Amino acid sequence: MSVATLTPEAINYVCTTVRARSAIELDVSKSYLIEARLAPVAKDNGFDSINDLIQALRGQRQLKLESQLVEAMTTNETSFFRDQHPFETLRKTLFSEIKTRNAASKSLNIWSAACSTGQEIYSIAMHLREHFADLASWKVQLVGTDLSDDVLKRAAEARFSQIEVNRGLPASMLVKHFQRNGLHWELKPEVRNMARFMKLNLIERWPPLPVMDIVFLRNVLIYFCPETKRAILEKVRRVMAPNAVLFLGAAETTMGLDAGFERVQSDNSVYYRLK
Amino acid sequence: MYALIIDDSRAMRRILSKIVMPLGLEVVEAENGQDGLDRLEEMEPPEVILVDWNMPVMNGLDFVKTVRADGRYANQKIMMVTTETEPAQMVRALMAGVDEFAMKPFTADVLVEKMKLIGVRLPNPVSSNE
Amino acid sequence: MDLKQRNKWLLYLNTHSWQDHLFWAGREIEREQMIVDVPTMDQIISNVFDEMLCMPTSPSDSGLECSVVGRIVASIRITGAMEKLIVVEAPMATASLIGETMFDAEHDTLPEEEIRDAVGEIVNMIGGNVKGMCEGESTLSLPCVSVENSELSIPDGGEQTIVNVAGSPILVRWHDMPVATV
Repeated sequence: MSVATLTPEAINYVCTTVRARSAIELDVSKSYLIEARLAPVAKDNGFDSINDLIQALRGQRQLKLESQLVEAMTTNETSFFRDQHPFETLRKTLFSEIKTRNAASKSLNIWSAACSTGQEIYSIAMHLREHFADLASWKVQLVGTDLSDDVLKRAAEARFSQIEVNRGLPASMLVKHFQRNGLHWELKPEVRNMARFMKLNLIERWPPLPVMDIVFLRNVLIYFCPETKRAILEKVRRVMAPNAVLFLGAAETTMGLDAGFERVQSDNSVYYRLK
Repeated sequence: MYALIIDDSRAMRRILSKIVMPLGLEVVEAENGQDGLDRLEEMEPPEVILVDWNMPVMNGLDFVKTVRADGRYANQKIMMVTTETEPAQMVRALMAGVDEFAMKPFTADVLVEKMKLIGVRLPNPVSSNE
Repeated sequence: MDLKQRNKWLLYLNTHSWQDHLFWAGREIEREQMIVDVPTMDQIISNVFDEMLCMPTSPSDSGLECSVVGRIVASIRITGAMEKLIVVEAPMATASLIGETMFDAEHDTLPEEEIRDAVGEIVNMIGGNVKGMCEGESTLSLPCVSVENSELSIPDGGEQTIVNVAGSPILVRWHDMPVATV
């Protein structure tokens, strides 16, 4: 495939389309990122270059191709146990707190919004197996959502490359919860079956969700403008149980956006508790 | 504070040094397990040992077993960085006493995250995530 | 992991009978001989160069000149449950480029010894990843690296793939049965 620098018109088209379809603001200065993400889309659809792909899209609106472009541009980078600290907080305080609070219902619901290929929700699943005693007698729902069909499919497969399992995942957990299959590593069924995945675009109508005790919405809000952030946080609040907690990315906050949350500092991590 | 890097390939030692040095650790190199033991005798214990598995003279697994059998190094942080990628081999290394295990090929992120995971103190801890 | 955690681990391993698990895994593999096809090898090569060394790979349509003199030939042997010989052949220009990337060296400044070391580590990583595909117990030899000036001749019965690494070709071939000479 020929390598050609993207034209300003092409970059503009990508940014406009992504903004219209997902409300995400791309950083125009990162045109290399656009090239890296869109090269496979162009190749898979038989185009010689990204410029050709975009020219075709501009000539005639093709919804499926457009979706592929938006998905490729909005897929989150992810790794197992990303940032570590939220998982420490789960282990040290939140798991035991929920065990007491939900002792009667024995139910626990956790949501990974923008779950990408599933590393976050599966990290939570493995973490529960290690640190949540009596797990077997509880009804646990782990839900991963994303706007990309492609990553949801991969998340449900729970097959990861060597590079992916090398990142962030302790070797002790790798040998315990995964099995090798050729070049790939597959989560064992008992962990894989703990999570389910569904399509959800944060700025569109949401499918019904269980009432959540813990929500992970990390490194997602950074892409949106303040109004959209507010709207998303309000909707998130409505699916949260009383006293439920929300984890955001390190560069994100509810402060100044939504007064319904209280900021809690716990060891090295920060989370937001529903008031 | 320094990292002891044990690998028979000079190219690999260079790659590992290039990742570790910007984090603020100095580097001491050794080219096999025996050489690594000799370096340890000469110096204060390192902040972390990164050790390959397949090496001439003394392999990494025997090196780890020897170090762990020595009471002075009971809490020494050791990470194996190797082309061995079978779960069975990983279990063997963990049982011999390594704290973490990274498979080659790796990226800089992998090593930095795994060092943080086992509590290696890094004078310049760059965020590998953003 | 501190000592306490490590001991917890040993306890876990002892109570969960890893030996049994490995035994049965080994049985299964014996039944279905592990096949390393070209796409799999290309993926391994890509992991080494694209991911680790940030050297972009692409399929080569031109092939490796048979008359290339001054090739670095690095081989490694897998013995045990899996029996394979893996060989990386790199024209000196490609080998230098790989060496310069791994050693972070200026163009044309790297001694041949370092270039050989670098290509040796490449075949080591490829060999380790191939070996890892088979759960039965196998051993990886140390890499053997030489400079070949004779014409390129590919022994029968093996498979091969030619990949451009940062625009320069390398050839990787692998044979199911161990062969006596490289």
